[in-house]
Amino acid sequence: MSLADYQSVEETRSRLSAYAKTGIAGLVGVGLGLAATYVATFGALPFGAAHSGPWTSWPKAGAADADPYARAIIARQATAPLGNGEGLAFVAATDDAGRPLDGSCEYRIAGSPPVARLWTINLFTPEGHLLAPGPGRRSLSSDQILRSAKGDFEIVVAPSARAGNWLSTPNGAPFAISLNLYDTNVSPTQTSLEGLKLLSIARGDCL
Amino acid sequence: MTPRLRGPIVLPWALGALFLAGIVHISSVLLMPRFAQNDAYVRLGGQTRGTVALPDPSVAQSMPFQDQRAEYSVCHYDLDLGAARVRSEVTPDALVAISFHDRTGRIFYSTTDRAALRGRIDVRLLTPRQLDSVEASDPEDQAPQELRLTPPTSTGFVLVRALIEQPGGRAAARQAANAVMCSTERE
Repeated sequence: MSLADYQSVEETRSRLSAYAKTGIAGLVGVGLGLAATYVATFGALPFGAAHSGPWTSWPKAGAADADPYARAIIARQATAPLGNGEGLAFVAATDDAGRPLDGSCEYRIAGSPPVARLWTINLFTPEGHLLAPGPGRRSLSSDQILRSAKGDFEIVVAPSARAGNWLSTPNGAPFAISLNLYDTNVSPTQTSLEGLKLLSIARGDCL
Repeated sequence: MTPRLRGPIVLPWALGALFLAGIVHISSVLLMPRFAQNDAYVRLGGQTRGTVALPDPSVAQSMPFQDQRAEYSVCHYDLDLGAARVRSEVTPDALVAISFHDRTGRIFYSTTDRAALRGRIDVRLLTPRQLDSVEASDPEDQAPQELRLTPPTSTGFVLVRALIEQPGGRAAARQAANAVMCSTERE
């Protein structure tokens, strides 16, 4: 093999390796980008969350100026969020102390929710699906709640039946609580939710 | 010599890959509403005509976090077939909330029966061209009786929530959700 031949082989080799590197970098780039999109749109909305105790709301999700991530998640998860003109929706996946809600524990929901024409409480899986069928109710609205003479109330979330306002959980399964305020005077802007006292979720005994 | 060179040479390739990853991520997020195969528009029945009742959400869910204390109806619109009209008389038995979604599920307008004018909800969905021709034939001395909206996309859906209130209960809510009438005004 002459020196010229050797140089041309080396040249071909380095060119091939450049193609290979470009290909690998391209594949890695596309893969990373798609993986980031998958992760970012899998769970809860990444931006625009407003917090109040254990409750989280995404007021922008129900507005025309929802951010691109919210729009992608709404499309991918096929949700239809509550519009800002309808009310405001909150979700809690933990108790007041930040512990994930557990179907084998008892929780007491109490407090005075903001003024609304009607509000509802629903139990779901953490992903927002229906819990496995069981005895008892999985949802309550404000006009069904039994109140004390003073007007306050307590909702007990527990796997076994209770007197009064009882919501049933499937024993042992994780769950989430949604609170929907319909025709509320709470303005759906993040600043007004700061300091807003929603219902407290206190954990009691666990089985 | 070659092994010494190889180390630092990886860095530009890695930076290139990261840059590409950023572009792919941003464009896929932006394009997802357009290309999502199984979004709310499709899952709620796609091209339905008129008002369609959704199943009792405490038994069969049509979408995540659907309120079990409500009855739902949906109607899809296609402005290419003509302007769409959503009408309902307000009943005292149930709280009715309506959200107007474009093709990607984004809400461009939402309201409850409390905001209804003269005891009725009356909304007309029009393309800008349809709006022009409707406004051209409006009487000069009279304000329009209905709310006119131009959706961002020519297709989309209207979601009706009728909240269960006592004493009417679920039956009254179902009736209120069914009472929202959607129609297409053929040109």
